[in-house]
Amino acid sequence: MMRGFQEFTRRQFLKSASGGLATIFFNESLWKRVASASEDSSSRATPDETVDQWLPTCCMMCGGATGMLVHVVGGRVEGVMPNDENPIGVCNVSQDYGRERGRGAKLCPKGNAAVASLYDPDRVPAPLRRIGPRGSGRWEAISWEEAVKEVAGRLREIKERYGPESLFWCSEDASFINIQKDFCELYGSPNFSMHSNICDVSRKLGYKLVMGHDRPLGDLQNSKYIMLFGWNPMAATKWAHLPAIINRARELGAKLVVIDPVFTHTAAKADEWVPIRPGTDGALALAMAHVIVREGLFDRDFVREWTTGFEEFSRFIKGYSPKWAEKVTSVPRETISRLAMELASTRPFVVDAWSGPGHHSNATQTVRAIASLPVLLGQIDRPGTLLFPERKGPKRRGLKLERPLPPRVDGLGTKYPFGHGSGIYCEARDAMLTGKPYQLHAGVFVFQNFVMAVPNTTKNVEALKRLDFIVAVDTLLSETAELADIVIPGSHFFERYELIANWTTWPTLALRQPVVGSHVKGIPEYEFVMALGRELGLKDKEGKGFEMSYEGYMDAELKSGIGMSLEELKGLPGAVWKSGQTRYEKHLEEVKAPEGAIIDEKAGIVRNKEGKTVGIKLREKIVKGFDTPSRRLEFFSRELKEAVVLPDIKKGFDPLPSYEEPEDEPTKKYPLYLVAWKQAEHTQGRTLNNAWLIDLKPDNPLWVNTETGKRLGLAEGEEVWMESPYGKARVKVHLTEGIHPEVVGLHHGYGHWALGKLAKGKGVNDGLFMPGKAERLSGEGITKEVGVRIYKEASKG
Amino acid sequence: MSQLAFLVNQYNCIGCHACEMACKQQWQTELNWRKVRHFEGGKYPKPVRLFLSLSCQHCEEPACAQACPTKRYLKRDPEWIRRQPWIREREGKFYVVITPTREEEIPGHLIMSEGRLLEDGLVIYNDVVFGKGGRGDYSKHRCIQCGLCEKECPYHVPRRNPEPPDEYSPRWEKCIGCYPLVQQGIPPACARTCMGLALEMKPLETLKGLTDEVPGFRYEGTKPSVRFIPVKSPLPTNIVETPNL
Repeated sequence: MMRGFQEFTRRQFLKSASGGLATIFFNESLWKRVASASEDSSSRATPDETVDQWLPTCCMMCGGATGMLVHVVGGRVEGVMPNDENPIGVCNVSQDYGRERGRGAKLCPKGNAAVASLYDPDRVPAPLRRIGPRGSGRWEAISWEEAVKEVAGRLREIKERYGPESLFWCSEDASFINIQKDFCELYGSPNFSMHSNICDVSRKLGYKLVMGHDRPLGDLQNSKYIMLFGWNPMAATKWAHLPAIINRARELGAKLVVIDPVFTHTAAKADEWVPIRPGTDGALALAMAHVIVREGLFDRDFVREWTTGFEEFSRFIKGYSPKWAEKVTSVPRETISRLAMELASTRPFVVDAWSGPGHHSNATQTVRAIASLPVLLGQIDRPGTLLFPERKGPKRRGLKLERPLPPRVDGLGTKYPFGHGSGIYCEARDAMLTGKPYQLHAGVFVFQNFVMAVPNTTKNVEALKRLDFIVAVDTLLSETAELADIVIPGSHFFERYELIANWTTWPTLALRQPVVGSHVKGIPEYEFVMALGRELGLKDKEGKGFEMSYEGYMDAELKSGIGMSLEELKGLPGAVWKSGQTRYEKHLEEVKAPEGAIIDEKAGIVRNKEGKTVGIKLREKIVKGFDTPSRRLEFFSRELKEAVVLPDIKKGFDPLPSYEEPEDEPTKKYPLYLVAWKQAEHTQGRTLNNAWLIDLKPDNPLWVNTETGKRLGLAEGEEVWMESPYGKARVKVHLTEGIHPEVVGLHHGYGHWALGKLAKGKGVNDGLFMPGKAERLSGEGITKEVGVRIYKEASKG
Repeated sequence: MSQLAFLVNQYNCIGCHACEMACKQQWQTELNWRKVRHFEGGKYPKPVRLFLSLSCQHCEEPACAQACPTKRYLKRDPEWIRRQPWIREREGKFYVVITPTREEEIPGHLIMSEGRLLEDGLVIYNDVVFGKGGRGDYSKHRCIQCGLCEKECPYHVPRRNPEPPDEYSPRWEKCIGCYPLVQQGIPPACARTCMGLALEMKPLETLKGLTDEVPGFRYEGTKPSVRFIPVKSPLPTNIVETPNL
């Protein structure tokens, strides 16, 4: 029943070994070689068996970084507990934090199961060199020294032959990214990319354009009305406090409305579920704005003082009636009008959108349309509304490069003038296939299972095969790692450092730290990156390279970011730094006009000498305003209007949040929408080999509306074919009342053919069916937009 | 302290299974002592989904303890203890009578604190001692693998572990109410981690007036110590239990 994890590991291993596991990976002789290769590595100090302590860190089962205390006995993790010193896991507003922490911090199922990932017997045990064809699963263990020498050698060769820009490097976005950016810049590649562009960059851009802040957070706890467009915070629990802050609001009588094609677990908690056709959220939001404007329900003073483009917007919105929107969205016109009236008559409210509308071809304009609702009603940056978080974090060192970086391969800054700094994975992938604008030759994938994460799996595999040299850093042999030439064993988050500027609304910073020595007897991957930099002799003009320790690097980042050393941060209660309070209505704060400022009295705008707007003239005072070009909230975006569009792109960008039909809607041949969602049991595709989590939900059957199923003659549990123009697979049917009749969908993250023994062969991968395009404004991968058909016979099609 | 009970708030429960995982990591168990069940019903566009998080109900009249031929289970209730003919008290110590000729002392700290019998009503094992960090001492293991505890429990809570880690481990397992924590005033692991604010452990007497039945759970003669805050909307009649899909 109860036992230490050493036994857990040993037993699991023995079980798997006796199960006739035939791959070369886990045979005995390899393990012996692994053990000897590890002998000379810089493994951590031997743990003291008598030490029994609780150490603070931040979870990394997903990117949410919820606060965690880890019970370590004799160098083994025995258990975890929420860390209430860290607001992540308690709430996101400082004014509530003091009270709520007394009622305890939270951890989600993934955080509680973190230890099963730490001691996962499938973890990559040592640096590996592929000895068979790509995907063959045949590897040999090599020493860390060999790994550094080989990777450095290949990268040097590729740089000399094809130029440094032929290196594509991508990373999970909360993991030592600064040292990776440094590496890419010093190597000379512009192509450092991160996970965000398949996550939430359309949301970021939409809000940034309207509100001047790219990551507003809802003060859900103090809200009276919460309207969520395609956001599932009760199950896609990025921060463990999310369900709690919504439930606190519900207990106090807030109404929760969830607009989603799927009856998600959040919808199941809502007072009202509004099923909608996928990708049409923008039409619904515009029709609600139409009602609010037509009925004169908007906040006139707020709109006059704090917005720009209302005149254009109110003319534009006339065309978007509830009658029109009913046809587009399938939401009855009465419902649309009623929701608009409810919103307009309730204060304070939060309207938010995340990855539902965010993963469509019209995502940015949709988010802009949704963002215009709180703007119309003045529900911004006040208690109980969307807040603009203030953030302070580690500051990355500046590098003085020998020469400027060449243009990026993915069109960021050119084809995508509004694209996010995290890059555009879909475009990079297409460039691997087409060689345009130039051919990539090397790829480094750090905790990014590119094959499974980027829409259109088949294309991803083909693209990666075109690369001459691939390095994968991961804890498990993912589908991406299977294609690699060298695999670097990734560390579990219990084994490494990170500085986390939290997703709270006031500045807080938390430490992730190694609580145990490396399970794989290796070095953390940031030290591998630094070793690689040293081996290649990478330095900037001032000689800055990778000579320091990683602790030293972090220490410098912390000192220049918040004026605190790493040791000081470690010494803080719970290893969390918190500063000040959540502040509201920051646009009203007075600012000093800079020298030579020009005040446009009529428009009420203050510009600096260079003509950049720096404030708003408001009744004899100069105040900060919002961080948009006009310092006001923008219904109409001059930036979008004036954007330089490359000649080969037909359309410009509409300065108003116009509704565009999704590009890849169902067709006659493929009549059903396919969507995917997250649930609390898993983080995308990466926790699927966690023994405890996969046991909670070992499959992701396809949800089909009962009526639709009846029409197609489908039975519960039946296996059928699902096919899109891009892929097909066998799926298991689950008939439910909880999905729009025109839509089928499944829990994202399943369908692995690698990763580990437990993940393999379970469920279906939705990425297989997707076209694999990027949103034209934000560059975000479109992961929820395609038509599919379902049929029983194998031969059809 | 009087009988403790789980308060399950179905209105708040989000079906995330964090309670289940928190329990698992706390006691490092192979089986999940707590289980979250899923229910669906209603008709599009007004479906209903319910979640029900249950472990052991720590019944006032535990059938498992009555059924066990080797007397492995024990309820931390002075009145109940003194009522059991198979428990003998001698000089402030308590003994389990396993056979007429075989008696074993119940480790004092399992049932007593500061010389007084504990009254929290948790149903625990008397042959497994839980220390901090979740480790068990199985030296007094007595399970003969008859399965009567599971059979007689109206909720079939004790379950067989098909692959116990060693020969000394009990074959039938269940929630112990996190008694080593609860005794120190710390909430049980499941309630402590609950993201939905849907699970608490409270004295049963403070939960008067709350319902003791919801879809999927009936109040039985063993007097289960669990109460519910149901969802607020009226339930459709076609509610059925589903797997976690």
